[in-house]
Amino acid sequence: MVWIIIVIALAITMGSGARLGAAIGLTGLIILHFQAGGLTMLAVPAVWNVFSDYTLAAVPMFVYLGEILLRGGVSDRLYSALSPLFYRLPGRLMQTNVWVCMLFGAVSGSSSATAAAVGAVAYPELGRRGYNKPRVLGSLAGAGVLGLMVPPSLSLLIYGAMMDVSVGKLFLAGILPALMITAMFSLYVGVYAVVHPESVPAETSKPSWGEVFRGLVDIWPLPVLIFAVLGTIYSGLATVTEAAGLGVVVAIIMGFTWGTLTVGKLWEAIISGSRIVAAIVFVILGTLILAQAVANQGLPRQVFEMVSSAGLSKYEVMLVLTLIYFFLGCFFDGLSLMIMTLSIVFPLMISLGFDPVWLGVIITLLIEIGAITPPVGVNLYVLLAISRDEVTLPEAAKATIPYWGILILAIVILTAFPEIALYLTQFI
Amino acid sequence: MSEQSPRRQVSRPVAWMSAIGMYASAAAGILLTFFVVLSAIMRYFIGAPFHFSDELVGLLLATTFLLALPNGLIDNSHLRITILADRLPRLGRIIAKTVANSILVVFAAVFLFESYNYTAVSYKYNSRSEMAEILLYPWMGLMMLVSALIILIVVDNIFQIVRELISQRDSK
Repeated sequence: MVWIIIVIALAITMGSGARLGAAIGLTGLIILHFQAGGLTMLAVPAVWNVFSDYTLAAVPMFVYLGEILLRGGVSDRLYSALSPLFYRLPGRLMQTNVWVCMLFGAVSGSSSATAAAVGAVAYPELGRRGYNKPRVLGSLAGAGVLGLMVPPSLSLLIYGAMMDVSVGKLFLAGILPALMITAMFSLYVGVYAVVHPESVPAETSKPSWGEVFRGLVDIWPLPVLIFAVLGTIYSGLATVTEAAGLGVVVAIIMGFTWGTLTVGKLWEAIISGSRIVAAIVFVILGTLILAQAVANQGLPRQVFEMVSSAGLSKYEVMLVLTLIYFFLGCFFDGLSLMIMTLSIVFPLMISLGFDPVWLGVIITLLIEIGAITPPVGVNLYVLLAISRDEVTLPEAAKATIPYWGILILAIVILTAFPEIALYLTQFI
Repeated sequence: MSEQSPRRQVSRPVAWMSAIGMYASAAAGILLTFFVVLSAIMRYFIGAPFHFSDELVGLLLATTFLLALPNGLIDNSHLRITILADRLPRLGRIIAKTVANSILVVFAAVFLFESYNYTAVSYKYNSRSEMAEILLYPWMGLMMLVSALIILIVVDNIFQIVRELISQRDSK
């Protein structure tokens, strides 16, 4: 009966365009009322206890951090400074897109913020130099996912806070997979440029090593910011929440002294951040109520028993889960999808013997594939807006397919070799 | 699929209330960041940690989260799956919108009722946070306030649309 309620509620939500948070929350309330003997009073403490949890305070601060960097001209400086270095690799500025997205991801927790920040600088520049515009957009949409993969990551943070998994370990576990994916993206861009030399505009003047060095020196505040956010966590100097606060302060100082931040832009960043937070939080609110109902009805145990009786191996379950995420990722925003599914997926996968830290990394990758999959594909839409409709959605989606494939390959590699994600976590 | 539609049509007082909520949410977010950094400085550099900061940050977080919600309805920034609803014929879209608004109102009404009960218990026992002994019911009351504002926004929006339709009919 509970499953029927969930399926009907999902169908009505998708059919009516209801707010996800309200629809999910109401589903939870219906289950609590009709299936759990009128226990709707459990909904409010479930929400209040999480909403007033100190650990989650890092969420708005990481959102503010990304918005401040976006408006503070940091991506502009970073792109200009690193262009001479990656100009020497095959694919030239397409390589810069990939590596700058990775570096920007190390100070921002969101993939759409990364795609927007780097895209706003890179797209006009590469378009002016004659690069193929859909391919430029594809590289930015694909590499933008590194924003959520490279710590600090909003999805890993919310996953850790909701499932009581060490956020510090999750952040560490994201580092090697992110570097691996960056290298795979870079390899693809390089190989494509060698096989299709016409895809890269003719070389004008090669930057000297002096220019490369000056570029690297010019971005000295960036390591300071990365240390403020990540260094303080791993050296034990600060908790994740404190590191997020410190990151905001350093980003503001950096924006005013090194970038182009003004008081007006800072307020704009905070307001914009509050809007993003509101969108995420409404879904969390609804999901907390549904999770309470689901736990009350023992659904995770039912799913586990169902899987056990079906005789599926843990990897077959992983495959089914991946397909479900691919399907739902076409319709749901990534963070909402993760938050909505965790209450059933997490206990199931842990009971099958998967590591909770590894699972956090894999779920982040799965939801990131959704960020570049139409019709929702948040990164695609962010970049289409930047291109001012010079590129169509089908063109952008087609150019993103190789990056999509690389992300799937990364999931296969990480499933076969989970130690890639878990290796660094043994040091804390 | 998040909706990119224009702002919801509401009366000026309701729009102001939700905008005040958004600014208060942003202010709470700034205060929260300030206290997190200040408490870290006090703990690690001065050696005199605040005994209240973690609990106050938690309460400011709830304020940041809750007060931003109503304005999201007016901005249409809350996440929705509109892939099917957008493709319906006119009558279907009206029905879908009515269902979507009903879901929102019923959810907010039940949440308002339950959060009232929860806050009333906290008020009755004068409950406070463990360490800093901060009175909790005013903060919990924000859940009621936000639920009520959500209902008000939806009802006011419907009222504005009906009023506009009537004035259009009269002008014809």
